Amino acid sequence: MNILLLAIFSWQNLIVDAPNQVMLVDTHNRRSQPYPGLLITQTGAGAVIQQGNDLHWIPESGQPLKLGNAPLAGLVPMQLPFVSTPVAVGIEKIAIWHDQKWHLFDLAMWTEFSPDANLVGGFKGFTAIAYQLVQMDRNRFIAYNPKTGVSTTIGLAPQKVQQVVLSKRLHLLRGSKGPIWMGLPKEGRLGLATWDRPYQIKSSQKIDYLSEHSFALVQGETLWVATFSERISDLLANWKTELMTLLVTPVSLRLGTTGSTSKLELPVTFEVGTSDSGSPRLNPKLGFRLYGVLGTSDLAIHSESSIHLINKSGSITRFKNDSMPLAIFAIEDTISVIRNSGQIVDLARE
Amino acid sequence: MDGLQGDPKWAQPAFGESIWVMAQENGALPSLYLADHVKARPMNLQANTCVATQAGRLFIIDEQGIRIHQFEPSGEQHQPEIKFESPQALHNPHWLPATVLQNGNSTWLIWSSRHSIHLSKLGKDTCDLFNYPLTPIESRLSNLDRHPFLTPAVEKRHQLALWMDGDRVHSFNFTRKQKIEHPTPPMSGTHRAIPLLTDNSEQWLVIGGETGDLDSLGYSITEQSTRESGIVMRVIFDSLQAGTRFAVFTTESGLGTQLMSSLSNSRKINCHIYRRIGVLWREISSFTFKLDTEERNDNHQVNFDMQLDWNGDGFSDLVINDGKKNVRCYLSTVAGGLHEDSKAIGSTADILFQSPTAAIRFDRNGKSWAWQFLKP
Repeated sequence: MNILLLAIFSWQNLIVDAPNQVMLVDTHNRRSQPYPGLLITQTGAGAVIQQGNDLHWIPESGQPLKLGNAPLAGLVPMQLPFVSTPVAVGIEKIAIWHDQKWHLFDLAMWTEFSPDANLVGGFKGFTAIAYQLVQMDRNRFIAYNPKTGVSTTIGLAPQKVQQVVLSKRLHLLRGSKGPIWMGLPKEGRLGLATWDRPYQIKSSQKIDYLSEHSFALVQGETLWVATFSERISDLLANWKTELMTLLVTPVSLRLGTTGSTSKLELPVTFEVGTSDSGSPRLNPKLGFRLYGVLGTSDLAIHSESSIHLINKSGSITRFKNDSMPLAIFAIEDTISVIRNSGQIVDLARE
Repeated sequence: MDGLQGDPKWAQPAFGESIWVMAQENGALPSLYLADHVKARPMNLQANTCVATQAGRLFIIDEQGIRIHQFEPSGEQHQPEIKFESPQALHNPHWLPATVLQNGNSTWLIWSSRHSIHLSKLGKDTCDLFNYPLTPIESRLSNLDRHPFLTPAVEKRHQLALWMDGDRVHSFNFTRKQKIEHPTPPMSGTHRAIPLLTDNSEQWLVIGGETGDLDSLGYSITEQSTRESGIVMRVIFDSLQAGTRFAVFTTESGLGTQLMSSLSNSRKINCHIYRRIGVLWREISSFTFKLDTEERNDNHQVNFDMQLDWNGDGFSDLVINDGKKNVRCYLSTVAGGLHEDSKAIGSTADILFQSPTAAIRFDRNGKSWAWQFLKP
């Protein structure tokens, strides 16, 4: 499952992780400035930034806060859009800032090890597959590990950790009334639960082609779900045309209802390879990226030289845009993008 | 062997009857051990380090410098830390593997941080350090669950260290201490280019095919008429031949052949050996072998590699560990090709790792693992 959220703050103030620097963007005054330090955690309400061995909390509103020394060595840069308090994550532990101090909990990511590779093989090292973290309220968090199916509930006051085992390869999102489980109560369905009973599905929606490879993005009260067919015949057809059909559906988190589905033809390329024992593999490389349009509930899709803007009623507007932006926002009728350089550019309709 | 947590993922000879072995328990962080036949001793490696091994030496690179630990049968020696002139940021949440390359008498360490690749020539108390930009290695841009901590594979070809950064190929000349970027030839469809760089040539092995066309899959060599069909499984450069010999392994792309391979658990693999002779890459030998793809149990791993020179003629030989009863070896010919008849070199191993100095077999022994060198 692919979750996409890039910018974290209200549409007036953004922190974006630009190459080699952290950038503070004031969309109202259309200015951006580099911020010293390394971006560690982007949450839905602020950012944790490391300067030397010290951590700082830059909230969406209010004054920056010193968080003292890093509670863990080797922090993993994370985007946690469904968390609102300062969090710092290592591969085997998580630190949560609560009542003016860090609270450490054992919470391991899943690690895939890549052994010694040759030039053609590419890379060696490891890939950490993170859990999905949702903050339920000030004191409670759920961390779901899609590789093991283990869901851990962390309580801060009083400190309490509980685990349940769910299906693997689900995806956990934060809705306004409770957690959203993609893949529950069964494959292909989107299940809504409540904060009191986070694992009990109260209602669910069927979404065509919903799978672990689908995309999801929460934009205010709207959950955007983007899916595509994974049938072999369709993948082979996509390989020939270098295009794939993406089905984009808005789901109202308040009402639990789905809106009309839009279809877009988007670029995709494939690499042909084999497993170690020679079974052929087609590895798709997507030529597009999804964004929430800050300041609206709309979805934007960047591909090649265009941005498609989709609103909840399913109408699509195309804008010219050359390079992949860091973030997209709207002020009144003007759609603007933030480029890698920090420059803000207004988009023109095609 | 006691003390190994999880299953072996990589191994290399250390000294005498000792090996370096990297092991990982289901989804947990990998650990590095120094193991003899009785016990595996874990190395205490920290976050924000890069680590390499060479024979009995363990190199630990941190932000301040390089520490070298020498392990011998008589014990362990620590050399004074070689300090960098200024700290080198790493930002690794766990240790990452580094590469050690030998160029004549010089030892070079190569490692990467998020935005840079670093090459360092080790002196007695100091080191020369060369830093170059590296594109951060992200997996699919949209997948926020996956956090890659990977370093590019680096290969030595004569005086060059080669690595790839996205589609770009870089070479660092150890003698001139200069880096060059090599533009890849223009390509269409699913083609990709692998450098066949030597000191006096800049040719490419181009593998892949046209978009949506299984029949067009294959490989070719630029500036030559060489062209073979099939899906390229692996390309292996002979590390003993300074980049002047390589093997391409292909399997047929037809859907019927693939179906038969899946049903029979047996796959025909074509092996093509090339050598640089004069100004051309020449095919020295070409033959087909069968890979029995059925793994005998959950511990068994089918694989093949060309790392070790079994017959001592200066060319690496092909060693296969598959579902058959024996590990088998296709020895090199005088011309640098491979004989088409194989030679058995012991019973099938659960796991077989190959390196230029030894092949190491691992076999599950109840709840633990036993290992043995398979030497020429």
